[in-house]
Amino acid sequence: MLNMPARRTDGAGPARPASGPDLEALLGRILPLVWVAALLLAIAFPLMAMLGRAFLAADGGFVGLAHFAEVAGSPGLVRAALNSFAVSAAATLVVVPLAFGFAFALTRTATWGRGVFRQVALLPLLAPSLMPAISLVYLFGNQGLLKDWVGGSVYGFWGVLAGEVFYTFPHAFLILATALAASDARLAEAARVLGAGPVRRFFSVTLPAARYGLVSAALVVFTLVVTDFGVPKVVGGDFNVLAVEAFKQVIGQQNFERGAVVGLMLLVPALLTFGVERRLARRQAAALSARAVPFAPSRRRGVDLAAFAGLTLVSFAIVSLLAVGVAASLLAYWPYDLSFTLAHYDFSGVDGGGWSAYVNSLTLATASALVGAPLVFLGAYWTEKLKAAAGVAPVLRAFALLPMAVPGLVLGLGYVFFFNHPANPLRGLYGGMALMAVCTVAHFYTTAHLTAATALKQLDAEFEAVAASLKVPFWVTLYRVTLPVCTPALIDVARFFFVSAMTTVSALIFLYSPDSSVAAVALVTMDDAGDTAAAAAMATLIVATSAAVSLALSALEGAVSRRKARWKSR
Amino acid sequence: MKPDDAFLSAAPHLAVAGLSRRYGAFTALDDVSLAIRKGEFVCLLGPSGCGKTTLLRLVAGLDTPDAGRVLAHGADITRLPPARRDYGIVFQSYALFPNLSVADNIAYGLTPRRERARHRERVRELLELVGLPGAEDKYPAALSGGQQQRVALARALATSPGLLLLDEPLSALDARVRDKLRDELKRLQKKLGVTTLMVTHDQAEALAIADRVVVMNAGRIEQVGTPSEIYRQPASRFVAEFVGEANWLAARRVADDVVEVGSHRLVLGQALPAGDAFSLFVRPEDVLVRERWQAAPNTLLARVADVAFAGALTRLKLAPEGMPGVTLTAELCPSMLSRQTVVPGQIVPVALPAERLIAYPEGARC
Amino acid sequence: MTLNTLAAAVGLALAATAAQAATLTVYTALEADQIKPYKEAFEKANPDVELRFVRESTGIITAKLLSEKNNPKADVVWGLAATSLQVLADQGMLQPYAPKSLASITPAFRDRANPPRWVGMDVWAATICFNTVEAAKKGLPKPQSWMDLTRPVYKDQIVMPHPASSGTGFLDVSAWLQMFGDKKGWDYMDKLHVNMAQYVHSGSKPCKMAAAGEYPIGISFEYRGAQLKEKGAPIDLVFPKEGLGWDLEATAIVKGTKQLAAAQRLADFAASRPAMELYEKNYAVLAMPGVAKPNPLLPANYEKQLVKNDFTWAARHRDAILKEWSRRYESKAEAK
Ligand SMILES: Nc1ncnc2c1ncn2[C@@H]1O[C@H](COP(=O)(O)OP(=O)(O)O)[C@@H](O)[C@H]1O
Ligand SMILES: [Mg+2]
Repeated sequence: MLNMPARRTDGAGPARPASGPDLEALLGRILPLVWVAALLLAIAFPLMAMLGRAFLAADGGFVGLAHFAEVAGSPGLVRAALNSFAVSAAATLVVVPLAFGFAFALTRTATWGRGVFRQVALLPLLAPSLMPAISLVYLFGNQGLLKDWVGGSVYGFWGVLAGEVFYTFPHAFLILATALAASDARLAEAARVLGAGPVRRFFSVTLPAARYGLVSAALVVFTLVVTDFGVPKVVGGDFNVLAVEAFKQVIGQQNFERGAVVGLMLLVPALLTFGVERRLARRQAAALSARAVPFAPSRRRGVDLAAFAGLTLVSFAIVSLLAVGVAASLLAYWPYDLSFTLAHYDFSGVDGGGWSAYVNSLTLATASALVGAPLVFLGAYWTEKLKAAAGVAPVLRAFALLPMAVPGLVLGLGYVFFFNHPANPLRGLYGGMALMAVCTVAHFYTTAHLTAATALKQLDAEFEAVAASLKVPFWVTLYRVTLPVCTPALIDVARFFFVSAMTTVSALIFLYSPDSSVAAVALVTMDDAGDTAAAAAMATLIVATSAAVSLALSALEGAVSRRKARWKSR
Repeated sequence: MKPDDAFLSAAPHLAVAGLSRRYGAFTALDDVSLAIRKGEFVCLLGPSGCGKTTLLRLVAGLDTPDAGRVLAHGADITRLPPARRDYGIVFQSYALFPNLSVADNIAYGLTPRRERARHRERVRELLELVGLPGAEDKYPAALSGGQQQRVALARALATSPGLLLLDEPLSALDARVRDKLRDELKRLQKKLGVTTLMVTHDQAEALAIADRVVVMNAGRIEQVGTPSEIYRQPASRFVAEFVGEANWLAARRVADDVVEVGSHRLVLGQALPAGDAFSLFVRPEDVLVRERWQAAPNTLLARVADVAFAGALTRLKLAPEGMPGVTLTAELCPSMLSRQTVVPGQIVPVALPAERLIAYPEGARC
Repeated sequence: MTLNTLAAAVGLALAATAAQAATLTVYTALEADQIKPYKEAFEKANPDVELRFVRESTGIITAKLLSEKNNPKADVVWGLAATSLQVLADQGMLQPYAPKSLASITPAFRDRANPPRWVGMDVWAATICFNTVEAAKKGLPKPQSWMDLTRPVYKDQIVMPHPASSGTGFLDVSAWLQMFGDKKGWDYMDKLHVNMAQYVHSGSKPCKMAAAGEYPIGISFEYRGAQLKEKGAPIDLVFPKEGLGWDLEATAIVKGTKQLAAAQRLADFAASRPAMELYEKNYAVLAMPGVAKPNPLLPANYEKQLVKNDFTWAARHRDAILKEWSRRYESKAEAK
């Protein structure tokens, strides 16, 4: 027979006497609010500060649309807006088909080396957007290796386009690969049985199934290009774009009002894109849930060979663009003295902060990863798992999605306006590494949040209910079960924060002070001063560091997974 | 129903009163009241989406109602957090913690945590109880579905809760495992005497396992009764259709307890409800095939359209004369068939016992 | 509750920054590779004062100082174009101070007011960096004058600094306007604009680009040209015969500094002979006569070639000139 432990108070029934306030419920209600407050401070208030600035005079009086009228009346800015639009549209038209082809070859053919190609496609994520631009100058500039391949000058529209294609390729690729991998093999099979040829199958089955992916890839690319500032800064020449204009207005001329207006102009397409994207994401999720059978390509020599050739070509372009940057950093004096040297890695004679900027970058990236990952994970936990937070969860979820709609440049401007405002008690943070870390975490919050939330959603929805029935408080279950099971996702998020913090410029360029300059910002400064080789060296350091840390974290993830395999096996 | 009064005089072990829960404009649970006695095994039965889980979660405190109360021994616990209630819960998904061993899963709610030796002993006892001795060090992924559900049950019982809540605990299992575990669950419940509220959409399961069955439909309770009450005297057309097999005959009122089906008159065991048109309900096993014709009320001739062997039973499709378009299903037991051979095309006398006929007003289809 | 925590954290952070005693925030537009020896020399002589440099190009530092007018963050400006400092002086943002060695500073190289609001350090002047290797490849003749640069052969071969961001860019524009007169000056720039491949951010970059052969001709300044040539870049330095635009690098104390004593010590140092000896390593014309030594890369009559430069005029018109310049040339693509 069972011997019941002392806990049993026979006949006491389902109710147990209440003792003290319910800490769990209290925490459950307060913690999500803390997160909401933090996101308000880190995203919403800076944005509002920027909005306000666009409508106020320098002395604080309301001027309505005067700044807008002024901007609309200045041909340079209108020109920049048109240029931004043209180059973004062009990049979208190039990248989406290219990335689609790449993803198609990887997911729908049985070609060789797919794992390697996939990694190559993601390589650009490790580099700041200035790096491909610098490489382009070395390749196609007036002293470029392959200068004769191109008719005109690399400086301007075509150079910017090429750089943006490299920079946005992995983003489009990731979306399209997911969309293609998820679409149902049964449809393709049915079409084949019905006698549809490969072309017809492609247009009647494959393409429609991936249409959400195509649209969202296009939107993401467009926004990335509109708001990118690294590529046009380096190879834009006199091809002025809005993102660079915002930088010139605020940093170059300290014209904050104009900067705010340009920032708003950048925010509008980003917000639109974001709205459409979220709608599509929801529909795509609905379309996916019913699907079951993944596509398993079979060997078809001709097709596989063609795919291999295409993949090789694109991969070669990606790798060479990176390799040229690395090589340039190791040559003594391009193009007159091509001997090997490490001299460019001695940054003492150039602007931008040199090695201390690099160390700052490491600190910033580490801090963003170590602080950001747990923060994001807990935030996602409140929204997905915490019953007591159910009321606040929708608000928190909305705030978690907001940063995706805010380009880094706009966020950085917002930080200038909000955190450097004389009345802000947090002003002391301005110019410091802490605020830069906050900004970085805020900037990349959404993607990290979605990663964590997806991982959490994959857990059994009843863990918390079971724990509650066993009278185990949520933090114990979080620590004993949720965290260990989600460790790989947590590492993923940390890696994402680290690499993003290493490579991003757009927000930080407004926030650094001489002591807190970071490597990616130093790139801009060095390039501005014409120290291209040193810039290439710094870019190489960034890529090498991102790659090394990514590999290390992948290894860690592997180790964790192996340990997990113990409780996963049969 | 005799011991009832004694119990109802005291407060029931668990009661819900006027419980409602809405999701937006949709009412998932609509004014539900129910009382459960100590030691009783109650099943919530109903089609998917009728609000069973919603009710269970309200009882567990995992959700809060929009209206109504949950009472334990008469005390209002509607707003009490789960941790202040006293129950164990088992879900269809088992919800075993994948990174913890079976022993750690079962000991998860045992306090204080440092008393490991005592917990180990308790885990051993529970594993024995649920028929999995020696499984302490395995991880959930290494167990079959049935074994995982046993562990989940052990975990729910570990703290000796006063109430056991089960949400479709057997639905994810193979038919054979399910039947076996069903019987064990019932045996265990009787042995421990733990009051149990179980959700299921499987009527056979509910009838087999429960002391009392609560049939739910669209957020409301249709009927509460013992399995035999539910089966024999379904309180509504919905219950009659949902539980077991049934023949339905379109009927018109002739007298207070007489209806007309086709050209036949049938007498009922009780008075008809209000209305003129009815659906007449009769279970297949209550359609009696006679050896020879004997003029009697509620007896008619029918042609055998089909004979299907169904294991323990043989199922006949009968086309009664004078009832064009009507097919009656009858279930015959082997002992009956041994006395009499039935082949398709044969005309057989059929009796529909008056006390087994129930008329539901037409149009009350759910 | 959280607000209190935050406030406490902020308080701590503020307290921590205030702890260091004599730290001067120095705004500068000096070349990055020049700052280090200057800083070390000063800190060696004044071990109790630490310098924290904020370096940006001339235009940015000027804009920054102007925007911080009501809430200055800099204590001292050390190494900014005299034109820019004159703008600040006109706005009453500089603290007049006569450094100890003021008497030995050339009168033309200091603010006219007494005590002066800024004191010069050295002269930097326009120089054309001309890549001989690329020019030979393209068959470009070596330009001798500013006017030569408008010849059609040089179309798309020239880069110069943007006058809004770069002090070098501004001194070029300012000199052309003072040299040629207003109308002729703008006419000249219109023609030059046709040949211009790019306007770049900094004054060094055109010479660096010329040195790398990216563009054969870069309008820059002599320090960068001499340094790159010394390093072996295949460039010739051209000193156009109409005369060289120039500006002074100068020092000033920002009005309202909380560290006036330390700031004055830095102003003393910046005008002192030891400091001049450091400047001498980079520039041929110094504010203190008798320190400079001849530079083999510069012509002997270099100082004579400097055009007449009226800082007061340049400062008064700086804003208008930049506006007009922007109106005419801001979008290169447009004009073509
Ligand atoms: N959180 C929720 N939000 C909206 N609708 C819900 C929610 N939970 C349950 N429902 C709806 O309430 C109804 C009853 O659900 P449930 O109690 O789970 O049914 P079941 O009887 O199958 O257990 C269903 O129609 C379901 O869609
Ligand atoms: Mg359910």
